[in-house]
Amino acid sequence: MSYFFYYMCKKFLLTGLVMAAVCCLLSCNGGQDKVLSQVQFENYRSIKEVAEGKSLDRTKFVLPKDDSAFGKKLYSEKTICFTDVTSSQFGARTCTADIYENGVSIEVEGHKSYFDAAGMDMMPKEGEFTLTAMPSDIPNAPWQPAVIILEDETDFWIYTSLYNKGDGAHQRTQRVEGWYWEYAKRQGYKYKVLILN
Amino acid sequence: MIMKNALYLLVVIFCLSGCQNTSTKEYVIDKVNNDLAKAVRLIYMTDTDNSLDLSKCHPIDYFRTLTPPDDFGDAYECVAIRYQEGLLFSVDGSLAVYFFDNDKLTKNYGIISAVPTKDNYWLPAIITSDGRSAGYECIANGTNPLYFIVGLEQQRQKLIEMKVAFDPYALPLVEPIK
Repeated sequence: MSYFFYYMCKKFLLTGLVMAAVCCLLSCNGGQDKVLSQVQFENYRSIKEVAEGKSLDRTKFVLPKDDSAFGKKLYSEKTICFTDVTSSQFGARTCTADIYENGVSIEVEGHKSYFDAAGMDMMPKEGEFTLTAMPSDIPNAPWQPAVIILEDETDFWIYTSLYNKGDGAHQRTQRVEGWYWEYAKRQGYKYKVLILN
Repeated sequence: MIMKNALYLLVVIFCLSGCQNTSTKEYVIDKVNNDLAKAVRLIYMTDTDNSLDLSKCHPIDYFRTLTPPDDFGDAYECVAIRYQEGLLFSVDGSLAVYFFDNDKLTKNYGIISAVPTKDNYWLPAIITSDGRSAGYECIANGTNPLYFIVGLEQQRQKLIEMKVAFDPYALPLVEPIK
């Protein structure tokens, strides 16, 4: 009886050890295949091709034509924006932005463009950051949504484009210097920081 | 009977020892998996039109390093896997994962990290260190020579934030946190 007990214990122990070893081996070798096997990469021949955005080329963007798929309108805000300083008609403009559940619209000088939330780096939330506009290179959208940042320890502001999700190479910036604001005041704009009165 | 038992034990010891020192490998695979899930761009640098099937590639080494600090002094974590067929890497926060075929690399050995392009993309690089500074040499084929030299002290803060202690298998080019 005792020999049988000893024999069973030994068998049990050895079987356990072998099973542990097999499990260990499986876990050691299975990681790579389990994790990295089902992803679809885009082929490129040069990093220039990547930077030019073969698949995210902004000149090929097709924007929504209206707000019908944007859901409920949440709020609106009016801000001050500026044309390109190199343009022949430099000046301040009024931007009216409507923020919806699934997109935004930007209206400047009577031209309204629509931008879906899927293409936005981030969607504005009331009181969190202000949505404004900056000149755009997107077809049929002379103005694009932007966020404004005050550079620390400088007197200029940076407007940064928002409709470039996942495509940092095509993020646009517009540097707005102190004299722009003075110029806007002389044009009759009344505002508190960015927000128009 | 003794021989049989000894054989059992040898198998067990061999198998268990094969699982040692896999922390970097496991970390890198987890991180790459995470980055793949979040990525909005999966970039395959190749001269072929064939699609990339990672399950058919053969991994060799796993790396976890820091990139050179940017203009604001921020270094980013880079994870990389060297394959017989090429190099896979991703940089924290970039939302992109890259695979460079061997043909797209000037070399595929050494400690792998990444260096930024002016367009906010990343290129593979190898790091060397003299104990005080790290040198980054870009190994992407067809690009202009690109080098960065970084004082290791600059990267210490990032390591503190990452709560990483010195581990030759984890971050081979950084000093220990004392």
